[in-house]
Amino acid sequence: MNFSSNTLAANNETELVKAALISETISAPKDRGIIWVGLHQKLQPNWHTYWRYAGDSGLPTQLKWKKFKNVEIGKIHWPLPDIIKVGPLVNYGYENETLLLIPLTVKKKGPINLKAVAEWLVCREICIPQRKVLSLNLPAGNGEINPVNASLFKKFRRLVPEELHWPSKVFSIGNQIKLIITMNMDELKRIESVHVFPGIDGLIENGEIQKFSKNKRNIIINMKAGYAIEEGLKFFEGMINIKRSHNGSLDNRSYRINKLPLLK
Amino acid sequence: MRFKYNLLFLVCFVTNFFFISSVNASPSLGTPAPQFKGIDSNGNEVSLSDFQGKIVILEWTNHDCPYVRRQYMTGNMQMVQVKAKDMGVVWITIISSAPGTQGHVNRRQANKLTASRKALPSHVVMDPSGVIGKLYGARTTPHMYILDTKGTLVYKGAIDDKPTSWGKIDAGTKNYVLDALSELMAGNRITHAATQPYGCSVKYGS
Repeated sequence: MNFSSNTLAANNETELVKAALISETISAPKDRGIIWVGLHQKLQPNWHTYWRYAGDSGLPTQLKWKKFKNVEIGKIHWPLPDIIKVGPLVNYGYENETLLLIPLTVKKKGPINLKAVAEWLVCREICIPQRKVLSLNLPAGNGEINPVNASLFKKFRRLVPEELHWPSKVFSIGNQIKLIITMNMDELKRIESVHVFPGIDGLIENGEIQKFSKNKRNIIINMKAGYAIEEGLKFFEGMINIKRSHNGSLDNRSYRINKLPLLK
Repeated sequence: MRFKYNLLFLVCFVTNFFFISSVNASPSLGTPAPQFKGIDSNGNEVSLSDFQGKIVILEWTNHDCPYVRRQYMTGNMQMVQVKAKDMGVVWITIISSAPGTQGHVNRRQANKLTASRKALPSHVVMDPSGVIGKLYGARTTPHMYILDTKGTLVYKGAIDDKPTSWGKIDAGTKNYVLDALSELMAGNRITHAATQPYGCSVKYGS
């Protein structure tokens, strides 16, 4: 009985998160090809929404698209999240601002009219579920870059993980998970810090310290195994963030770890 | 008088568990569930060992969390409680919200919530220090645990497979707790014994 009024109340607080679908281009491309759009969220200070794996609590942002025949709508490319500690719990999410990137494969030229229902959970200490119907209309054109949005796309695209291209192995030993990534000496020398983001619940204990070391060939990260390992999970999936010194500054890159088999 | 007694008890209790500060000590399935004592919403001492020989369900809650609200406003949680009661299960609702945080209530408010929501817990245990929550690695509301008649942990995780705070509980929803209970009663292996809990974070003070 109070249910509907409460959800409505939650809906009216959308200013906690300013959300919009935006496009990297001003118009649809002249031909077939890929263009990028994104769900842009601007948050009030100290509030956050969530990464694809939210961590110990929370829920990832979702987009439900209305089909549009001329384009194929891709999956969300999630930029590197912040590590957000809530008491003893650890969450992975976005504070201040994020752009969830989505590729559109354009199959037929002409204007593009997109509509989606976006749902997210926004939390500070308390959590408020919100949803918003969003649309984006691109006229037919030459797919020129939108100068207003270009820097935003550039900034957040850099935070989206690339494929992990170094040889890597992951071991499950007792209650530890050990990730070993092999690199050459020059690469190894530049690495300042790493952090692993699990992609599945129960892979590692999110709140435990990750121990990072290097030897002549490898970087090694030791993590505490989570309950899913105990339950027989056979692979590791997630992302590693690597900070490297680069001409006196710090280069911050993330790499996707795709279903790496857990070795004994 | 009673207040003094409770305070004394609480102090002993906290010092006993002083070294458990991490929430990550999530107990393993198939092992004895951690023992705990607490004060319930009627001011009575509740000890897990009181319920030996019975199936026990632990439910972490925060009445203002939208996920908990959905479960109670749709009557879903109460439906599970009714079925559990019919099976002779002891249902312990635990409130680990620290004072001043969302979901923190006093005993009178806890009883009022039970009455107004027509909930059927055997006990509502007040855990404002978060000691019991951390002992079980409780991280969300709701977060559910099932202990078998020997006190072994046999289920931990979500109430169901629809992690949302919106709308009705649709027919295709798989209720992990009910499924686990019926498998347990039938003497079968529990198919989904550990699932990802969803919802608001438990509002621990530190």
